[in-house]
Amino acid sequence: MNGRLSIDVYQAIADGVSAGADADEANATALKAGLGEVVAQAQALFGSSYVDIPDDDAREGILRTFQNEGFFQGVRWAAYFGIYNNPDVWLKFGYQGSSVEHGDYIDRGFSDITFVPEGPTLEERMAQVKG
Amino acid sequence: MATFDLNDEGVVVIVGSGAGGGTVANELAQKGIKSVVLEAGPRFDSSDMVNDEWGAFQKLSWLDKRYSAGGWHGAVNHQNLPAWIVKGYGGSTVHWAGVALRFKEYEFKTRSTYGEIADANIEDWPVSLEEMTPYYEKAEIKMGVTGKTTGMPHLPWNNGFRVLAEGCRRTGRTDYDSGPMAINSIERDGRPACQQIGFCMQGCAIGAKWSTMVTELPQAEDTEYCEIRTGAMALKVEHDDSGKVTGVLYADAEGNQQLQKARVVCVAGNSIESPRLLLNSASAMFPDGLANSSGQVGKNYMVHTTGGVYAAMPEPVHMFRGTSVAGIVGDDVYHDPSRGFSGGFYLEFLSLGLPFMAAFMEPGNTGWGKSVAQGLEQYDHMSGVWVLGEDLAQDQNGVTLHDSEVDQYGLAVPVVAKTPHINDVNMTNYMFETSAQIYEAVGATDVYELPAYPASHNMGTNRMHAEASKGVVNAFGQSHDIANLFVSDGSQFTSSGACNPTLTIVALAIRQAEYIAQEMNAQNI
Repeated sequence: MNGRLSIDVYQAIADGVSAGADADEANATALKAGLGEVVAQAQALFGSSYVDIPDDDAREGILRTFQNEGFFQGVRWAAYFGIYNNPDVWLKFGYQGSSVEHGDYIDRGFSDITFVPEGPTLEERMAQVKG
Repeated sequence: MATFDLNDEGVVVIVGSGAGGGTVANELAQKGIKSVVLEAGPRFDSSDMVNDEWGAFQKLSWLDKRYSAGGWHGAVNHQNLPAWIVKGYGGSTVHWAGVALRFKEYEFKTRSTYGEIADANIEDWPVSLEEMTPYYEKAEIKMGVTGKTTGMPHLPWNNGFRVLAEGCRRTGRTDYDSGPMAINSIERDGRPACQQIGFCMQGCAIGAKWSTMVTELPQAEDTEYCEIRTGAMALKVEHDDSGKVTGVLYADAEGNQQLQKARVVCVAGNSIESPRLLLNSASAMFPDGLANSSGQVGKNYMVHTTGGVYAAMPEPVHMFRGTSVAGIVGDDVYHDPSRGFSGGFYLEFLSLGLPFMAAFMEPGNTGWGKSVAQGLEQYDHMSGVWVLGEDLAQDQNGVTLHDSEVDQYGLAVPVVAKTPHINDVNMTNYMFETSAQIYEAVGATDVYELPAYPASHNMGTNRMHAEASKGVVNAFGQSHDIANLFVSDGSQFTSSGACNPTLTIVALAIRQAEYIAQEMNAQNI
């Protein structure tokens, strides 16, 4: 991982979820109800609002309670697409995305690591398939 | 391209344009035998291929309604995607990675080799490796498979495979290499050498990888003997009062029903659609579906026993650079019941892009949170394998028709059931442990185990058997019940073997086309 993702990435995900709720009343109702349950669970377990719980494992534990609910999976997949299917952040993960417009990796490091031995040379590979 | 009249009763109608159907079509065309290929999906060419995992998935995949069923995790986590295969010109050869392995001798003789196994329905093939060898050689030359048959060197080793290979060396393995692959390592047969673009499974953008899209289908169309109709979804195989098939009813690209008359019908729609078509063709004479006197149509569905193992290494690997399956480990392909399972397995280096790694690292509702996120932060340090081993045929695994729901063509939706046998469970555990040991020998810091993906290797639902009571087709893929009805795809497989099925599908298709020509000339069909 090459540095942290900028806050804009997360804001865009939140904006997308909000826009989805704005466009669909049933979606909005489920999302509001679901978030209400998260808030209530945080109060019940920690006497605190969700965002004020300092321990990230504790926050994740609260969300695990709701992970099979539609509202949660809606947000989860929005986050998945906003992070892992987002070409703007792929380089942070060391992923280079589409390749063909650059020609290839044959001259761009398809075999450039140094911590294990090289593969066989063309001559060795040619000799291997003779006879 | 030739065109044939709907009432032309002299044509062979081939349902599907992939490894089986596309190969049969071209082989027949080269012999001067007329055929009409009905391809359900659109026409593709190399310029349609995009280096984008989800973009290509949406563009190429068969996404008509299907249900996953049975005890595998996909019945919950991939409810409408039991299989990841292609709908379009070239079929799943557009998406295959190019691994071109032959079955081992014992894999054609599983019943004799393994004996009876409880809860499994294993049988010997009616063909042997010795009979198949000349056809494997023809297939390798046709497809351009690296190795001794063609004299084409295996591909250069990429980063991800070099890590795996070093782990193999350090754990005493000897059978690991970057081939055999049906990807040109040098310019050959009018197709260029591989440029290590990656994204092989999103469709090769330059035609270095063999597919029927870039070879068999255009070659067949260049003769006067083959017409390929895209957007043509087969609905029903028709027959006459004598029980011979007479044509195929299909929905054309505009949704209108057409009936193409036929002298011979070859079904090659992959292991879900082929049995589905035979079952949907039930009639008063054949109430259980065509070619189904054995009751085996739709049964014995096999997919390979699989999973993924991805290891985070101490330094960056960038596994996505270069061919998707860049190396094959064959040391474990043998039968030794003392391992706790029957049959063998391969380890194949397989790169996933970040989007697919994130989707498949932990599929299902639980696949989020800190542990998954931290794993994915190591993406550029990963090398990994797809493990695949023999999957035993079982009665309970198969394709059935939904009792009420129909698709956009009005056909009953297929329900695809797969429950792992205890053999699969034991083999999977062994494969995962073996893969982890190999990567740990090169210094892996973390190892992630991924459950089976939606199946791209689909086999067995119209299996071959010497006896008509135990199988759907004979050794030539000809149905036991109806002489002019053939099955030309991987649904013919009696056992799954450990290896990727495409080379065997192509070899069987070459052999079948010879047989069809011979039987047509003799006026037997």
